[in-house]
Amino acid sequence: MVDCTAVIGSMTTAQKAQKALATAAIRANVVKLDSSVTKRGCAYGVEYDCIQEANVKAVLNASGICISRIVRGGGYM
Amino acid sequence: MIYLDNAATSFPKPPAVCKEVLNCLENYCGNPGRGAHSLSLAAAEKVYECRENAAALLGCEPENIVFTLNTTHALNIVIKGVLRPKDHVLLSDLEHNSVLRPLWRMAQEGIIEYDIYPSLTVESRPPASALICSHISSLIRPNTRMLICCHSSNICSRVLPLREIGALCRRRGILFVVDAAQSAGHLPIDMKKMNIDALCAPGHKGLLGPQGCGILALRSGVLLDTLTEGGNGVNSLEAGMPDFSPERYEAGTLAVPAIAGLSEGIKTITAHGIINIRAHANMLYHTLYDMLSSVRGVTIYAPAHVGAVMLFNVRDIPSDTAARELDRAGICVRSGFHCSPLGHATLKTPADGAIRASFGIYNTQKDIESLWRTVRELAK
Repeated sequence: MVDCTAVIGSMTTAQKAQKALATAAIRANVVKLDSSVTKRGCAYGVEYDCIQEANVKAVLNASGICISRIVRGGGYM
Repeated sequence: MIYLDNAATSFPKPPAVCKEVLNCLENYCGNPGRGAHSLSLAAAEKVYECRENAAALLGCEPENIVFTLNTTHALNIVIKGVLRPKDHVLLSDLEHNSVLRPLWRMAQEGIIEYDIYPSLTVESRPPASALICSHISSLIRPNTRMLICCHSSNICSRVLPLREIGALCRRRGILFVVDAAQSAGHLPIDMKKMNIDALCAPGHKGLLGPQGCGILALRSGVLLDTLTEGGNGVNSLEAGMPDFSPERYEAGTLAVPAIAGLSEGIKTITAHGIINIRAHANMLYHTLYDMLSSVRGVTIYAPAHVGAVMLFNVRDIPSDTAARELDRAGICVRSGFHCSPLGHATLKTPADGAIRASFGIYNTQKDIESLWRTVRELAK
């Protein structure tokens, strides 16, 4: 399994994303992003199996949640 | 002790609320949204759970549930985050000082103007809701930006027609703000169906949570200026607050133990069912109304004959004196003006105010009978 992280922004929106993904049977964890991958300071995202990337994008898009970028292989602390 | 001051704060709290507050303090009271360690994430999970529970109860989205200190804080965020010089505001004649005082100050400073619309009309033809909306319509100006309305008053059980007022506000492009201090947990609320733009509610009254946490629920798309700024764990390299809810309005550390308790309080409300809670309050109201009506010298101020709040006086005994006597008999009620000078003027209570008895889900017919017996003695 290779980890991908969708950069979301706030803790609350990341939690909403996690819930939406869980409803779609996609396992994801809320993670705080490493400062090396954020430009605006503290930010949160959801970590998932990269194989689910297309599904993750579709679910979050349907939930009105914006992904600012996707980090492969970690990038979180 | 018989507690009949639930309009001030509900007591006792459900056992699940007390248990969860302690569980939080002992096991997961990290700072939510401030880190990635397990305690911070556990606290954040409980906070989000509470947002979900509150959103489900009020008919909005979890991310639009903003945690505040209390209802007054939530109202100040909305009032001061929206109103600009030369704006005009409408408020009902039953509003609490949490609405009146911020508006009065802004008016004194020459920033805004406000008018007060009557909310007490006799149910007849046309219906009260149509009469209230007609009064409101006659007061709307081109610069009317906001209308504030309590769902139900803290001194009488009058319920204002939110759906009709909300529809009017939407048609006229006016921000509709609801003070749900006495209705959250007591009456059904659906922000979408009622066209509510911002709803302010306490955690510690009808929602059965601890003191220290209130709710500001916003309609999606409503963006307010901030009342307070500071750290919130997001975009921390930027000097400005983010433009998204709820973090935009939540500067500083949240009251996580209170929020944890509130989440359990809302679960308790949901399990009981709002309709059952309302029916229980109405049953107590009818019992007390019938009993007090039979006592010579008791005056009841009741524009509506249902609900969880009853205002009354005993002969010409000052309300504070009567409340002290009731306290000596082990009955907790509140006397005076209840931070509601507008409402007392509307109900035409005497110069020293009145006694308020307010019921909660744990009150019984026996409590009401005890109050009646003590009032009957006072009236002799």
